[in-house]
Amino acid sequence: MKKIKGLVVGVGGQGIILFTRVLGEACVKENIPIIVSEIHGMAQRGGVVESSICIYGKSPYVSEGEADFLIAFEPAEALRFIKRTQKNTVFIISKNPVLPLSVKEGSATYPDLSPFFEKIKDYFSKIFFIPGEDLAKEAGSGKALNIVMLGASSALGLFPVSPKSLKETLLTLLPEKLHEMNLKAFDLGFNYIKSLM
Amino acid sequence: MHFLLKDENTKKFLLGNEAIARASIESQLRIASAYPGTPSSEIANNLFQIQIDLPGFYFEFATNEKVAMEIVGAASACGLRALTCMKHVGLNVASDAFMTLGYIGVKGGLVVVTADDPSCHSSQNEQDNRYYARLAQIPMLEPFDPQSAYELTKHAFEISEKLELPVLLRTTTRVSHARSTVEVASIPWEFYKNFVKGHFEKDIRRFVPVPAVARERHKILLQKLNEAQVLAENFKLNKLILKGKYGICASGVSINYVLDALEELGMSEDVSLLLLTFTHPFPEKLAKEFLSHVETCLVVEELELYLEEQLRITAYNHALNTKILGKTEGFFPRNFEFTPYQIKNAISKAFKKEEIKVDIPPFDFSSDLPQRPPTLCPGCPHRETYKLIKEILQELGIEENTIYPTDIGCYTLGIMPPLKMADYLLCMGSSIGTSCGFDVATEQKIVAFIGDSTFFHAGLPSLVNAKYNLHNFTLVVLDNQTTAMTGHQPVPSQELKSAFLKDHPIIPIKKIVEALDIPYVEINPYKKEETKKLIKPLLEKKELSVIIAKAPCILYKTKIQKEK
Repeated sequence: MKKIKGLVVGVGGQGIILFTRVLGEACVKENIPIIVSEIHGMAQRGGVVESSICIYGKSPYVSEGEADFLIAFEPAEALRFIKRTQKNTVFIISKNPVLPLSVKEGSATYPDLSPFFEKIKDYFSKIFFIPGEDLAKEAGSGKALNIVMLGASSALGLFPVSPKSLKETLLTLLPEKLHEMNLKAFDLGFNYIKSLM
Repeated sequence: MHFLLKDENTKKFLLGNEAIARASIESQLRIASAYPGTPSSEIANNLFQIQIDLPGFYFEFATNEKVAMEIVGAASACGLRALTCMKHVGLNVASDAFMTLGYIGVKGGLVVVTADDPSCHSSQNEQDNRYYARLAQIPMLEPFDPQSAYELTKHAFEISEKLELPVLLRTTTRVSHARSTVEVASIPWEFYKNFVKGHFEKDIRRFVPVPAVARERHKILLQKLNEAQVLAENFKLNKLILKGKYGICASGVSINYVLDALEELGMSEDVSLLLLTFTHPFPEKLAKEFLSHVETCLVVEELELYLEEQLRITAYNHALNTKILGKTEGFFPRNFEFTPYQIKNAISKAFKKEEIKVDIPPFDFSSDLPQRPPTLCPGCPHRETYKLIKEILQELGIEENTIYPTDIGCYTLGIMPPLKMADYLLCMGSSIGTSCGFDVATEQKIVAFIGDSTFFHAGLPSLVNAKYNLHNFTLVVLDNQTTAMTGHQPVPSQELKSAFLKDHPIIPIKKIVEALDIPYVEINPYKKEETKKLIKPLLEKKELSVIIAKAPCILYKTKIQKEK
């Protein structure tokens, strides 16, 4: 099988680990080889987090120009990892920014990203923006952003596992009280992307 | 029940570190001890939690890696299987005990895990700990993914028991923090029903290495190393795959990259491979067979030229003129972790004489994007303490002339603006020792910072030194009740603790300072005005003093409140 490689990027505390765990466990159930790795530096919170995913392959790292998909939980983070993508990379980008502490404290600014996205839009053909955090809040909590993004990725068929399988796996990893909200988050992400297609 | 104990004879999706913990439990590990350190921490964290479910298993967070090494050394001498795990620099701390453990040997299988950190994701250096196996003359296994981490952990216990030597299991961040499929076996529930103690058979001609004994034991160690050599030559997870005249020798995570690269280059059927997991002693016969078969051998290993040098020695010893290509020829750097592209390109350069061009998007926004450097969390008490001290020193007009020796922990982030209160750092505990040096060497004011856990880890001997040798500086102990940076492991001074540790005493840092007869104050960093009055007299004087800034890590406080 042809390898599928991609990155999930965002900011510490956004739940990227749960995203990759659900995907990984769902693959394991169906005997699909997968390896992921998580790098999050020293910070407990607020730092850049990247998770490399490799399906049907062995390498726990995505090099420059290699990603088949880039799932960004935060728009600036999508741009930060752009060197790791290529012309055909599928982007799913949550539009809601997460301001670094330095910006909140006033010692730095968060730039208007639209000119940057304008620059890249002709180079890449598959960029999908999603109001990730808004949808997560609609589902019940901003914390469900990771599952909104999982649903969105599933709608684009990025992974060789079905939406049903992802949802079933998700439920095995969460306490029951969070089931309903997360299923809703998954569907909201899924349907939002479907509506764009 | 702990998630690592669930499921038997099936596939699990595990982190490399979780695979090591699971395999240890399946291997009837009885006693483990560790001091936390990324990227090794999840091994210890999981074992700490697992003991709640397994009465027959004991784990303790030791005050430092050396203490942990000594605990497991003794446990093993009593015939029990034991394990300790640490980050690469942790082995520096434990090295005194580690270096002699090989001499006196072990009884119950003893595994020492070192998790190296190429690219310094969370470390102060990227030392290659494979050389520790050579230095201590003990066997070493190197996993390359979670499944091999699981299998090699099991082998490590067997090999250790067979040779009566500790075995070094060396991972890197990309192995410890990779998550993949692991085929697990069953948990020996019967074994863990009760904690069955071992027995220590006295044998002073073995266990007390006075010079006369040490000389004999070194002879025995070298004999065992020969036996280990035979095991390495025949180790089934050392893979020799003879195909074409081009060959690649690799170990660690590079193995994955090599296999993927060969497939992508369409060369899987052409290239001979020597993929090593038992890397010390170096399996020279196996390497000879490999080097005799290939004309060119590319060596793929992160960091130092460990395999490369061994291969060159092998070629020399057997008068082989195989061309060996590695770091010496500039195919790879000696620093940082590799990327799959780097390896694919090196293979192509070595065997196809062509570079691989990758279409990288022609955009670079890095200078326009907001930085997200690691920062102290919002509401972190350390920031309050830093601000307070800075303000007082500014009021005294001596801030510009103050050196801030710092230490290892979240508070190293005091380096960041606007605080900029971290000037010199070597290792755990170095804030106090270096302050002694600065005190003698300069006229500058010295205010050192150390965390509670680091204080217990390596700060005690140096504080005694400071007092005894009449050094003058102010030490600020940032007591946030936990080992925060590595994920909130316990610390002897903590008052807020998990229910499991409720019977453990509280060892207040102020009592230690009192015993040393050093002037001190204990402050609440959030109460700025009253605190300033307390601290100012200490900072004004040129004499040894201690400020204990006591306030719990806000993340830990929330976590522990949720538990209760």
